[in-house]
Amino acid sequence: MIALLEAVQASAFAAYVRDSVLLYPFANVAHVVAVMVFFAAVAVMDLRLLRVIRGMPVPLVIERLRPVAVGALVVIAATGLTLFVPEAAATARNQAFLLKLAAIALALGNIAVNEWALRRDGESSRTVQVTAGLSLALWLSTAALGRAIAYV
Amino acid sequence: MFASRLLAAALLLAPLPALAHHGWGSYDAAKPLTVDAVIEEVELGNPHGTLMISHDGRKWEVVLAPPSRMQARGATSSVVTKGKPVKVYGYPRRDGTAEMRAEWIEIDGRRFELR
Repeated sequence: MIALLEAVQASAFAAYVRDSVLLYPFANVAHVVAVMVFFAAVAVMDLRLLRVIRGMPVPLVIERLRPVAVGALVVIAATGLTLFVPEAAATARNQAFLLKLAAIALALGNIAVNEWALRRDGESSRTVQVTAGLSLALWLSTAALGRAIAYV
Repeated sequence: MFASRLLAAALLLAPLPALAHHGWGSYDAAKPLTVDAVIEEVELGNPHGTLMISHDGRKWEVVLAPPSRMQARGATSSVVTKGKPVKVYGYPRRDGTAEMRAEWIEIDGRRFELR
């Protein structure tokens, strides 16, 4: 694993990003902006499920906002990879980064459970309510842990 | 619940071995150092550049600015090169590691502000 990460770090792409004057800061800024868009979409869907926001039916809210969340997530992943590559080996040892990956895995699993319960038991089921709340907490934790990478 | 445990875990783990060193907070601005040395190694990459210099019998890592700022201030790779004399004004790490964050460096008689 370490050997693989060191190979990634030694790649031409990593060298390009490391020496770039514009790409790295651009990826850095785009990553944060995409996180805001992503969380805005996720928060509205979760708050609608939790009935903090009412009005528009749940399926319509999800239909409108899921593409926004997925699109933002693609940008987050691409820019995140760009930021990861120049220091792959060191970042993979960073405790905040490892916790962040764990939080992302939990948050993605949580979406699957939420979706499954929503189809099976409907929007007011306990599982849907709990996972909607968990979603907010897990994604906020992910963002906080991401910022912490630079400080641990 | 799980998220708060995760955050608690993050806070508990944070003081363990420091791999990274960001911001100015981990450096002691009350103990500035001015060092005349020779650039022994130089790397001007993201997220920030570094120099290696010798000072007081130890090898010090000097933390510079990101490439975008280095370039904006004129401290390009043709100026900051291995083997050149350099004057560094910076602040040492609070934990005693031989590492300092440079407020400015002087090369070829030019001063480059890095903050």
